[in-house]
Amino acid sequence: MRNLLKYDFKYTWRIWWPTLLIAAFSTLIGVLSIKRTILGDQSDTLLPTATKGIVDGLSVAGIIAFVLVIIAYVLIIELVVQYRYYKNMFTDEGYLTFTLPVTENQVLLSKSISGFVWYVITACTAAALGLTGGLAAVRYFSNNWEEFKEGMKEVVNIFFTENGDYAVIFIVEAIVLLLVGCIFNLELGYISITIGSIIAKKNKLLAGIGVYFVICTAFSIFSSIFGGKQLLDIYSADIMQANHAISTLLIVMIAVLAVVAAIVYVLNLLLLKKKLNLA
Amino acid sequence: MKILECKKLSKAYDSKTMVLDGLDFELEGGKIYGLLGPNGCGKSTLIKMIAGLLKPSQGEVLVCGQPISEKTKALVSYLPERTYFSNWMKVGELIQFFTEFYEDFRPDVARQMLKELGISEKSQLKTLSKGTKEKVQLIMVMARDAKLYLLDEPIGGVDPASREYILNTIIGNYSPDSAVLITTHLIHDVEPALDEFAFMGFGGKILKSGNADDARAESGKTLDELFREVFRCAIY
Repeated sequence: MRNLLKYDFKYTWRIWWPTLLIAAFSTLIGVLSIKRTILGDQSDTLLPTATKGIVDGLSVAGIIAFVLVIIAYVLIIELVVQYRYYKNMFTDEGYLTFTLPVTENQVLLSKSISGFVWYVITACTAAALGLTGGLAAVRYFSNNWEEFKEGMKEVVNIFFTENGDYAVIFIVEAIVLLLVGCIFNLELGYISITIGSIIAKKNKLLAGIGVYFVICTAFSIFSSIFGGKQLLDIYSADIMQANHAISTLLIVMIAVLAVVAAIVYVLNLLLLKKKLNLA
Repeated sequence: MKILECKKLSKAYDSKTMVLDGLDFELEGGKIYGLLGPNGCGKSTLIKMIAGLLKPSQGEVLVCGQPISEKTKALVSYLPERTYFSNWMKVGELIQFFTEFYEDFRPDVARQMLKELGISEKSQLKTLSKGTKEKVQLIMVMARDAKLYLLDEPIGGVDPASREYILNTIIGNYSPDSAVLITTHLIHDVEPALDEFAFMGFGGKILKSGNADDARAESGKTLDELFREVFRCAIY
């Protein structure tokens, strides 16, 4: 198990760190572009109007690129984790994976643990880089760091005062929901690839993507129907009742995602044990 | 000791195609077996079921008396007919990988064979030619001290000059109490290495089997000639 994890981490690490470097570099460009766009530059007065227009355009492009690269960073790592699962299990590499002296459960668990860790690391680093850009924007826009800090403190105070004990509960529930959401999404991707590889003779990955969208659509419809009533309760209630309803909704979402993720894991394991045929 | 037992083994990929139909097959230690048959007769299917890559539709496979599981996978060294290592690894990392996963892997033996072929441990697999990759695969598989070696078309993709090296590697590296099962349709090339043989026809039927030397002595023909006779192929 330890060895499986080691090689799963090693594979994604090779792609993760250069992608992170590009994301970090684009954040730097983004922050400089934000500064340039908001504050301008003293040397601008010396530039001809056409050149200034180009520099302005490049600054805006820098900000857009920063946002797109952060989104791409998250998507790339998510795709790499899922592709590793596909390639390692259902292509020629599967001949090695499934002849190792390990159980199917160990293989799946290793992929689930490493995938989850990469999802969390990527989400945290993307949030940190995005926040850096966001804070830079607010910082340069307010033009007064102290004023900005005071403003942020006030926002935090309002959140805690208005929500009372629920403030901490919301934060904890949101973090747990994020983590469980990562596991759910990961397992859903894995089982979609497994089903796609079993049902399709060719274009297995494409079939897996199709299965993923079918399952996601079905789950969205299901959650919209059953979550709708809770949302109506939140809108119609006073603040304390609304807080209670929000907290309950978050707990229900966590429970549903956790239970579905566990069921999906077990189903995937059964498929690998009973239906895997690397012809 | 029986290394491998296949009992009433059947495999159907769909309702129409029965690739193997009630095959009974046994291997004992200390011998090299040739499973010889035309393309599509079910040789690779049989090997994949023994390796644990395919689930039998019916019947049972036992390796050293145990049904297929992670325990039998620790005893079986499998060489597929295609290149199956991750391209991103270096040859040295592959040695490390095998050392970590297989208790019976002998890294010194692997390094010695790589040295003989002039393959650097620093080479990345994706930079190697298909033939060299196949040699690296064979080295990794034969550097294990396994109970059962399953070699699916080991010389199918290499040039004639390399075939001799590969066969010598197989003969020189399997331990005396192990069994080697080689599938191929290139009978002329593997014939000198075989102790026992089985001709497999379509549907996985064993049409003729026995000791290779005895068969040659009794018939006055080579296994290659016997194979052509059994399958009524034209000699060219």
